[in-house]
Amino acid sequence: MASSTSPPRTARGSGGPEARGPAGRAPARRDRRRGAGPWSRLPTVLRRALLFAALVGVWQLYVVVADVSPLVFSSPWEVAVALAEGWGSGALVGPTLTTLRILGLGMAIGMALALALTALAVATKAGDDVLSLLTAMINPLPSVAVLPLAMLWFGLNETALVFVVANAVLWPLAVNLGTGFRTVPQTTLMVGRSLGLRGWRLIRDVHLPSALPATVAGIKTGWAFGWRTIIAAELVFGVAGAQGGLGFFINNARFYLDIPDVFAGLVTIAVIGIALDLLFSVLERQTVVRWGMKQGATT
Amino acid sequence: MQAVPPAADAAADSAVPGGAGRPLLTVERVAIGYHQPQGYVPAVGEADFAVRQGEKVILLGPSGCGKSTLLKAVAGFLRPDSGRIVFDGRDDLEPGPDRAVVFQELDQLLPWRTVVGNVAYALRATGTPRAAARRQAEEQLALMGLDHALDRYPHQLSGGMKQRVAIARAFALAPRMLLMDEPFGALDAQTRGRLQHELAALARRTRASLLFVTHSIDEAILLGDRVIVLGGRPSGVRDDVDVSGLEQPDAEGFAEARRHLRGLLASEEEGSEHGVFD
Ligand SMILES: Nc1ncnc2c1ncn2[C@@H]1O[C@H](COP(=O)(O)OP(=O)(O)OP(=O)(O)O)[C@@H](O)[C@H]1O
Ligand SMILES: [Mg+2]
Repeated sequence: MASSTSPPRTARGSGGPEARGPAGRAPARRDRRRGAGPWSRLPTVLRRALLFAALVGVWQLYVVVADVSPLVFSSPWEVAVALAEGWGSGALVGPTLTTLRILGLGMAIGMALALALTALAVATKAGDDVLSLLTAMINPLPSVAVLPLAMLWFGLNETALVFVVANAVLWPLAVNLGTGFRTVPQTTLMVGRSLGLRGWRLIRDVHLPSALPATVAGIKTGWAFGWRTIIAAELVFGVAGAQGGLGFFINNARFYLDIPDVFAGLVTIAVIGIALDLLFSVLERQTVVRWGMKQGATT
Repeated sequence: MQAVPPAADAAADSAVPGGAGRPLLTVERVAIGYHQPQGYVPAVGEADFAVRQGEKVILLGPSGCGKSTLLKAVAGFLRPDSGRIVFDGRDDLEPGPDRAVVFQELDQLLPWRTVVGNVAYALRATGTPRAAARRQAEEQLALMGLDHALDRYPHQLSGGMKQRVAIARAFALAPRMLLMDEPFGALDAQTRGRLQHELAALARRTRASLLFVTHSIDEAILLGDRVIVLGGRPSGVRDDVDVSGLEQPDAEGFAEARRHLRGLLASEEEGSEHGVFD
């Protein structure tokens, strides 16, 4: 389990949260084996919808034919019911909001710190050395690894989780932001300075937008780290503060052998992951891709 | 661009009474070099010249003679190692919008702003309120024939259009002096010729003070009132040629000025070759 929660550092974007369900891969592989002639001519949306329907069908078929114990596995129908009930009654709403709040807060803090550190690193040589040293030391650490320390410092509460998420976002973002700042074209900088821009205004109006392609890449990496970390931390933690998050919800459902709820929690996590990934892709298309700043055009 | 009515010239002339005599910029015995890992590399040995208010001065010289270096020093990006640069009474120059710069590079527009956004942003950064900045930007861009491309992003423009926007941005700032470093160097000959005439007309109309770097003799004669020829190694001012009134290649004296400058440059090219090899 430990190895599956620490994300490989190269995994980015589409390989992210949706790769979570172990069942997600089998049908894709099977379809590739069927040959790609007419299949590849279908529109992407239709291909995905068909795949999804096939996946659910296989899932349902497996549950019916294999007659697995309901204490281990649920049918798609049961999961759908659990999802509807969870969202209807609010049992899933609370944990989802808790997790999202912790994620949002942690990311905001991590991003602010990354910006401050990078600005310092751009302004002073000492700041640059500090940032290089810190990122070299901390970035390789899987972000869950600081969890025991966070528990020791802040106790069993949300603050510890926010800290862990902030830490998870801070370093990959600082690395990318630093690269982005250092590679602002010389001409662009001279244009800004000759308009009389100095200090913070130069950073805000020239460095930051110029570094946006790298920044977006950093945020995408950072949020995926944070997202995995927070779920893992909630699973380890159990309850955090007054209201547990999604990880807690799953763990709790497992404890009461409410298997459909376990799946409902997993599906919720996956959907949020996909939605956020999509959001960042749209953001990227609206900014760096639209502005023709090439590095952003990869997604 | 559109022909400028002769009346505009006369009006502009009388708009700067007596201003034409005062030097706006003086470059006094300036030497500049670069500190490299291999040691000090002199770029400008000793440069001495002045630019008066409303005057259009061209820096002409072979490649590597320190034209860009001098311009960057006037812009405030580099400090002279010795000598002084006095602009408008000050000699501690920092980059600023009173000396708007147009670079040779085609990436001098901010890629995240549209055409009109680039010009309007420059105005807002220098204190113009938002609505006025937008309006002035549109007017200036219309003057450069860019009203159809206001909302495009720089990466959707041709090279010539990009330089037009950069020139519009510089003029919109209404600077005390315009600094241009081979703004047409990266363009094809046809576009280059067209932009030279547009710039000449605009400069005539606004009576802007201009310091313009080029290594094209025709461009120098067409755009300039005076051509300062740089050369030697380390470089200095070789000659200071009056080319005022020679806005058309068929003007009397154009061929003569061209011959003169060509002769100067040819001897410089020889000289610099010695400089490289000895
Ligand atoms: N950033 C730099 N670091 C070190 N040396 C430089 C730098 N910029 C220019 N030089 C050197 O200074 C000298 C003058 O360069 P400069 O760019 O001013 O020439 P130029 O007259 O503008 O040439 P060109 O017409 O090719 O643009 C050259 O020998 C060049 O190698
Ligand atoms: Mg140059």
